[in-house]
Amino acid sequence: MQNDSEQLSIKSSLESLKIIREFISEFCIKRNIKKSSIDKIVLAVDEACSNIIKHAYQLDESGIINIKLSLEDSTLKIEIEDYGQPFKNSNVNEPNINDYYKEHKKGGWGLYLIKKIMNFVSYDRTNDGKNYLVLIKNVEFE
Amino acid sequence: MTEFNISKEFVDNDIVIIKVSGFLDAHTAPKLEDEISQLLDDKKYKIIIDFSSLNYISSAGLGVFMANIEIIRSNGGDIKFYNLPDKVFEVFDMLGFPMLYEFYKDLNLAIEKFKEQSNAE
Repeated sequence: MQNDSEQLSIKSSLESLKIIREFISEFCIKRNIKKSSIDKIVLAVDEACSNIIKHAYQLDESGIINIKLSLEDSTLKIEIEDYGQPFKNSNVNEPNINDYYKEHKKGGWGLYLIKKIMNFVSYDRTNDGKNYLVLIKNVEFE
Repeated sequence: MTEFNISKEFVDNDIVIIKVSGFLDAHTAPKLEDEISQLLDDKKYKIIIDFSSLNYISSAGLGVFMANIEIIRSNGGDIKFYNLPDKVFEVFDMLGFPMLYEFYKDLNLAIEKFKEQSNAE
């Protein structure tokens, strides 16, 4: 059984999203994870971090996001921590595109996409005031 | 740094093709949002988005198209999508966009569709 991991700590700026995507992508490429899965995993983590930056930190760029990736056999575990506001809305119903049309909505799809892409998603607010998000994906290799 | 770029081209003065390239995410989406707001201020409602050179989109990018679509259509216009790379289309598909938007592989067909609509008015 093999378990290897890498971590990234980065400031809560929208500009960090690019670096976060590259970090995820490189980790997965190095381990030969299937290309089509990598694109989706990258999207899920981008959506999670976009929400943290916009909602938990409310665009305050002085916050920190910690991301830890670990791969054990074919299970990729992604742990994301931040010290921002607790997550409020965990509504993950399938978005109805017609309602969005009528209401001129332009967001709120992130969590739905994350749940659709990953095999397991959990969220905890820890006693020391952290948001702790765990995303798990069973991956295939090239 | 060319993280995300936009260029535009007019056809017959009322159809505008916006070519997006690079990475469209929560950081870069406001740039596209401003571009579309400017078009609406100029009363240009017939918009084709050319995705040929787009490497990546997240839901923040999709939100830009959703925010103004009703206003655009109520003014006789539309946003039509042209030449999406498969992985970009997949994100639109996961969120049900094909129910509400037209996707084209052929730019001329998208332009023709706007012209037909103009002739029918």
